Amino acid sequence: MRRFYKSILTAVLALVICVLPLCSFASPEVLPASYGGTVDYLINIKNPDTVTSTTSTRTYVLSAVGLPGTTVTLYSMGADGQYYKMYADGVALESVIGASGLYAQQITLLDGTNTILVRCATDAGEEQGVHLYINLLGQGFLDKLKAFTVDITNTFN
Amino acid sequence: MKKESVKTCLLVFLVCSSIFLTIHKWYREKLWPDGYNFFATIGNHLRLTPPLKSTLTKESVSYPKRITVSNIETEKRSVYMPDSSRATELTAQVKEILRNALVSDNVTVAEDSAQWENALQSKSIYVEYPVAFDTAIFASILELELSPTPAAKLVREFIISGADTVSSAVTVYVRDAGTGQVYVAPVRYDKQQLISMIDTYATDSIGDHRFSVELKFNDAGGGINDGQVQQSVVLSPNVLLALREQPYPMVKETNLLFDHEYKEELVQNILIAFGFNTSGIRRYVESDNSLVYVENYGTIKLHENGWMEYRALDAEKGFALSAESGATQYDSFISAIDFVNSLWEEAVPGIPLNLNLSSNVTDEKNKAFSVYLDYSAGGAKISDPVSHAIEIQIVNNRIVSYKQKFAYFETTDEMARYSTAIDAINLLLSQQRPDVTQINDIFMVYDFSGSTLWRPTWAARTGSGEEFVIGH
Repeated sequence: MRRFYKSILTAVLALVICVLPLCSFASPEVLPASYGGTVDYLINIKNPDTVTSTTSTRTYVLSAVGLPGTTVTLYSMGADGQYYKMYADGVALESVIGASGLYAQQITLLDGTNTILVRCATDAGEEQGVHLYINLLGQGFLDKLKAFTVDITNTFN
Repeated sequence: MKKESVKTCLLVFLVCSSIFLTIHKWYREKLWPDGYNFFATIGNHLRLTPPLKSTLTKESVSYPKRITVSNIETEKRSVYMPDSSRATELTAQVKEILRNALVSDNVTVAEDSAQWENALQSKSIYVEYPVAFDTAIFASILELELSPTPAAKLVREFIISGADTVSSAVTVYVRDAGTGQVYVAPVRYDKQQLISMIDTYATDSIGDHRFSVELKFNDAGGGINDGQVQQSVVLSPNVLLALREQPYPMVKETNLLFDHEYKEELVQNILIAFGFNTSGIRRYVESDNSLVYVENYGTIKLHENGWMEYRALDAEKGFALSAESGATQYDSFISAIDFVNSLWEEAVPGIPLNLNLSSNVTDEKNKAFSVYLDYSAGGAKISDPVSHAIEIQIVNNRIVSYKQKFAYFETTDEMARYSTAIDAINLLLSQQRPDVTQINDIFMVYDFSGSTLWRPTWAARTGSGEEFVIGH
């Protein structure tokens, strides 16, 4: 009987040891606001080309060039000040950069400032985090801008 | 009396059936020695059935490869390939605007490439042709009388822009395919009509397709961490990247020339189209079962895989495209297109011909030049790595060499998913050409999948002008 329980315990331990490394490969669901990573040479964000930017396009495509083999995961800041992994249609916005080094991911922005974290990780354990602040201009502001343009045009015509 | 009536009826019936069977036998060519049938020859010369209306015209062979309609304000963008009635409607309206642009008298030179790039990202229609055209030839195809000194000498891409909110003018940007210089042509066109056209035809999400310039992949430098990561491949600003996997139909090929045996009627029609005298023609069969027909001035060889090859024994004895003397290169080109069309209609009447040009159409005043064409299905080119579907060598208005694959391609209900454009570029660099550093275009083609099926895949054109089918 003792031998039986010993066998069960050994099997469970072996299973846990096998599963643990697999769990560590998946990117975390939540990251703190202060997340920064350990290196700064895994990715170069091209669009937006500044940390703080403004756009009028809700359907936004974030683009970058990075080291091939780097896993890029996108996070969005929640109300509690932590970063939560982003999903679209139930699929995490996570992909591995290929041989070209090119990366592009469509996201849907909300009105106002969107605080996005781009987390990069390699199999060797290197990590990099880039914080982005993308401000989406609301439709009301755009309408005012168009009305101003029409007024100026009429003034000069 | 009744007996007499029966006899008369029977006699009439026997005479009629005898006549019918005789006519049937006389016109069946297998009754005669191979290639000879007096009555069939007479029938062909008399052209007893009226010719079908031409389906391949100089306009249809110069259809745009792709039209991208963008409306940044509504965040909509749609891509049209020449395979749908909607694409045909859009093309007709776009050509009207391009006609106006070609005769615009206020053309200016763009200050820099930013004007072209900005136009691409605004409310616009981006028109791409598969090959470059000499501007004068392009104007002739559009039935325009062009000014003798057009701004751009070689055209392939146009942007029709309605983005200028201050002016009421419609602007067309034309890029010279040879020098890269951009010209700005204001055109007389109802701007509201253009805006309405853009609103009508830009219906999909703008996130599905993005230009390289919008993602800043056209510049190796720049970015938040500029200098930390090297961008190994640069994409031209106008490279359109599909960011979502899409299903696309597979295509099935049907060999029109051979199906367990050569199709006799098609063979005869080909011979007649090239002016071969089918009565008493010399014919022999090669070891690979290809048929060779020999005439005084040329040979025609037919292969089981559907290929047909004509060769003139002498350049001066080639198949004359027209009786006109002093024909220009443009005249010969148009005559060659007409010949391709009439050959197809005579050889395989009733089967639609979907072709597009695969060689630039330039007027270098050469008496010797080549014309290449490829089949298309679902709006995409059928890309055969061995040869173009049609290859024509012309010398002094005569065809000296003509090669064509007699096959028909049609889409099937079987769908295949093709990857995103970035995944395709990754594949190109990782498995085929890791040395590529510049990509000027990426577009969809059909690649041979095995048996009679062709699958959708990507092709890329590099900075050096080479084209690769990715994954091939």
